[in-house]
Amino acid sequence: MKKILYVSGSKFPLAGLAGAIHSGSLPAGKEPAVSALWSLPFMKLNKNNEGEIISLGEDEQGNKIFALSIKGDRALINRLIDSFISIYQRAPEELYMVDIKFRENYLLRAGQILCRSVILTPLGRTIVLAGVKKIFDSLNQLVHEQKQGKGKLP
Amino acid sequence: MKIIYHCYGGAHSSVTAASIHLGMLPADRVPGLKAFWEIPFYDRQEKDEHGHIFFMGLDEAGNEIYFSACRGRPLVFQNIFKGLAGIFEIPAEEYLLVDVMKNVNWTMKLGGYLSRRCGFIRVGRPIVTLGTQAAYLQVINLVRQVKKAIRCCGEENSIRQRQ
Repeated sequence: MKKILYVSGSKFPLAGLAGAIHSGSLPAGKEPAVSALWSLPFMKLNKNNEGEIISLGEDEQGNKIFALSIKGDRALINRLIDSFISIYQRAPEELYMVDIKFRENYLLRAGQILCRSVILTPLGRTIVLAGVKKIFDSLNQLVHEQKQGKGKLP
Repeated sequence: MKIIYHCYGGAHSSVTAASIHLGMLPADRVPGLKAFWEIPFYDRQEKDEHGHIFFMGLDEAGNEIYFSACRGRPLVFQNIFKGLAGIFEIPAEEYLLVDVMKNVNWTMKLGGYLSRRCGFIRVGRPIVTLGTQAAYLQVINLVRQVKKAIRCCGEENSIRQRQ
């Protein structure tokens, strides 16, 4: 069984969303319900947990799904991951990295900023939801390709 | 156990700490400029190597000593490392991440910037080394704390094994 790590270069947890679709925490093929989206543990947008790798359970084939969303320093992070695998003498194939190429849209960015304020959180969440709906098809497509084995290796 | 000293550029403070840990630099006095320059990795790492974990040697207890550069994001570095350890099911007792950045002074920052960022090695290297000498006793103290923590951890493990 593989360990699949979704990685996005964004402050918004796009990798977490993709991982949640992959593991079945979010339904594939249809837009997520508000309650399902906000019940995801990584959607606490007012917390600063940059660099935290989230475990999202297993998919139907028993592959373990993880997600990492981090803005900037991508080359440094790739070197860190490669070095880690090297110093612990693990086979590089053990960890299958899926790069989420597209960026967060302006709705996700704006919603995320508003979510930092207690008073503006409801408005922020509405805007984030609109942003998620806008990007959901692309995420779905990416996850589908990975599951079909059509995804490109980084 | 793997002990990873990390700082901004992985060229000065983390290399110094790792060298003290390994006995390549003295732990009882401040060495001269040349002693630093003779260390293989001192003032060497380039920007495109940041994030890479370099092996420096084995200490007297057989612990593997490494150093790395995390730029201005030590928490991100630690979070990712811990996350990867979680993915590969590596217990937390098998590694120790040590942030040496807290011991870096302005002289080191200036010299490091001139030498590593701007490439003015002739000017930057003596300045950063003077800064390293000024911070040296603090780094020694940090390394002592690390060694003490490892000893305690090792004793706890051996007690658990005996039980």
